Amino acid sequence: MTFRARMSVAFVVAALIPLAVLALGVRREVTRRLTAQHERRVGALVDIVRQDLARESASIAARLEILETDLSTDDRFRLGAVRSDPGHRRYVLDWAERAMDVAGLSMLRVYDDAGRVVSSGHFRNEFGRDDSQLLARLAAAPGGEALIAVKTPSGSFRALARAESTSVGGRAFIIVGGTRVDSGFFTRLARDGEIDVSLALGEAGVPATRAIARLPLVYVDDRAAGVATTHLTIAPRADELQMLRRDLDRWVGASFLLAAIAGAILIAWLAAGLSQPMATLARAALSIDFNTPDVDTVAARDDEVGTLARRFAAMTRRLRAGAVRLRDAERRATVGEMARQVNHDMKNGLVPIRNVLRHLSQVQERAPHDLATVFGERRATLDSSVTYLDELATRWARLTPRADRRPVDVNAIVRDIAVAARDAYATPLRAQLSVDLPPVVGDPVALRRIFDNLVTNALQSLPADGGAVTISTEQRDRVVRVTVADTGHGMTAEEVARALGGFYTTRPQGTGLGLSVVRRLVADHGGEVHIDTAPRRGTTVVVELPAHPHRQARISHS
Amino acid sequence: MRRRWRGGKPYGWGLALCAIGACSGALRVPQEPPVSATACTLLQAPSIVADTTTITFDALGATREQCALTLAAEGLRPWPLASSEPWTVHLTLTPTEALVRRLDRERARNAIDAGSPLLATEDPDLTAYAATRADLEVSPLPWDRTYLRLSPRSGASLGGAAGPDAVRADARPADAPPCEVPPTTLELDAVSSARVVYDGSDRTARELAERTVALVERSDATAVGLTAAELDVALHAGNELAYVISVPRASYCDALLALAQRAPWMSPHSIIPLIDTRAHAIAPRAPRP
Repeated sequence: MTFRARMSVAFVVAALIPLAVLALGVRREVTRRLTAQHERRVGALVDIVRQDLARESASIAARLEILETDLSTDDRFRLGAVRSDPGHRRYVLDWAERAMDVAGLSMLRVYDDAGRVVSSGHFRNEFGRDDSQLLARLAAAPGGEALIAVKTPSGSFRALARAESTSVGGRAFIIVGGTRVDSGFFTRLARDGEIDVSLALGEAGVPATRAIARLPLVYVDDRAAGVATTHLTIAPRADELQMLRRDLDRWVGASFLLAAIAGAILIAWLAAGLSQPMATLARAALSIDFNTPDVDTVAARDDEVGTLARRFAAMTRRLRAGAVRLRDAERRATVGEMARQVNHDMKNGLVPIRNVLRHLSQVQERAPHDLATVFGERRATLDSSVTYLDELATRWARLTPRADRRPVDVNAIVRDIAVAARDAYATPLRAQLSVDLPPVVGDPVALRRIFDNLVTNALQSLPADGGAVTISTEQRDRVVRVTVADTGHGMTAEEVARALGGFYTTRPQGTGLGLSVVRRLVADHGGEVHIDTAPRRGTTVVVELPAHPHRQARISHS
Repeated sequence: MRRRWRGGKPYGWGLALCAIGACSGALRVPQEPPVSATACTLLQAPSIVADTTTITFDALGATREQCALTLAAEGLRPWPLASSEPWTVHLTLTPTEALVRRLDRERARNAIDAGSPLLATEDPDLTAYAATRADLEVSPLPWDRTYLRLSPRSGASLGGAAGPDAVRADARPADAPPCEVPPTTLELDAVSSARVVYDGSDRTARELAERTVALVERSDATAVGLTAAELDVALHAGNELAYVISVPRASYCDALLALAQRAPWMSPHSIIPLIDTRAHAIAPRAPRP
């Protein structure tokens, strides 16, 4: 995870989440309080609505009372309605319309004593209709007031109506007048719009679940018998509360967004202040060169990063000094190791020569006449050893042995070593060579050094009372395996590890480089060395070298 | 040619020639209007622009005032797009023309108060007011329009027929001559709307439609005013509960035949004549000799 990602996570955990919790808590508490306050105010408004309804009813009654008085003294109405004067018929029909307009009512009817419409204000031409049943139900309504359906030429509406009786010229008339109960009426009742008022008669109104009050109203339906009770449903208007919630949510969202943007900018700034110096330090660490002086790019800062950079620079200086000392030590160690390797290789190369010379000396003493014959027989060994030493000398003279890679017949090298070992040691070396062994690609001298070291080690590990050394070659898959097995003392695992590390030997004259040289040279050829040994059980060393891909390659015989 | 113009669309001007004497209410049987030296003739179709129009006429043997008033009442009633006000027009005569201007209630009374008006009106209140003035003479014009109720479905129960009480105009029960209307073979769907439709610019038609709504047994019936084009479409479709239509009384039978062309479903049983109406002339009283 990058430093920037960690900063982001830290910001979310430390700032945004607490902010969210705070905002949600505040929102919840504000909503709860606003709702409670709103419901208290709505409760007060319900009482006002009740009073308004009562006032409306009283107003209708008062206006009808005035119309009663006017009607009873209207001579033209009297002539038309009571005396049935045709000349005043039209006046009677139009009386209610004028009276309704003057009284400010939404509906007005004048009925005769049989319940027939004599004059209608809202629907002039409904005169003559028999509404006796409606009048009977209206009379039965408590308080003489009810909600009625009022028909007009263009439809119908509902009105809160009252019925008042009057007498004109000895004839009874009934005046029914009322106020339209529609959205405008509900809006007037709702006052400042904090509540919704609707009629529970199937119109689109507030759901009953939201209602906080239901005011009963008597409803007279001309299609149903008797009177029914309906309700004026009052509910708090959710709009204001929802708007408050929306505003609150909007502010919370805005604060979140602002915090997130500020956090992102802050993180980017902090990351720029830390990540870039860190990256500079990382690049400096990657490009440390102990031979050239460092350029301190961030050390001038006076913060923690600057301190780190200065300490890094100090460490680099110390490492540079240490590296100089280490290079000197390595140089000295390399010279010493080279000397030991030269010593080791020279010894190995001189052993056959010394043995041949010792043999020739013995022949000269015991059978001088056979000296020439024996010399002829051993001359090849001398030539081979001298050539080997000459090659070694040449390479060491160049200090860096140059690999001379070509296809090499391993069996041939093993045979040379076997012959030399036969001459040098009393113990016979048994060789088991694979017939179809493919060549390997390598340096013949280096390969000879490998197997020479292994055979020498094996022969020298044998006890004085005998033992055996076997060297064998074989092919497995694409690998040439050369196995050198002895029945000598064997080694512990610790001794093997130390021997592979170099400069470890159990012999007084040994250099301790044999196995380490073998491991390095085998590795140079892309091969592997396996050692199976245990104390008093002997040692088996297996060298695996990659076989040449072309079996018929031209083979070099060293 | 005599044509009446409403909203730029011509429709029947009514009687081609209206004899002043014959228009006084004596027309009882279908007959060709008399053409005599006393008949006044409309020479050019008037074109109504807003509240004014000009009628060009030849009074022949009649007085020019009487001829102009009669032609205006017969041809320019109802005034287009003026259904809420009772029909009243003021006439200004020139040697060959009469400038006709529609007046609302207030302006009509102001005209009377200003003196020497020449008005034609169907407003009974205005007529009553003018009758109180000694300097004015109020006289009825001929019964010139008959209102019908057409019901496409004979089974529809529309209650009683609307009578003169239903309208705020000088009206009487229809005195329509018998006419031969060819029976129709067109069958309409049983389902119809609950609308009683009428010419939206005709105040009297509206009142008759409302009376029909009051009398009809259907509680969902409504009266709906339509434009001339909408009324034509509705007449042709025949899917309304009822139609209230006015026709010129002097050419009643011809008007019914023309109506049958517009309403192909119309049959003799679907026609109920309701009322006849007339306007009144208000003119300065002639000085006593």
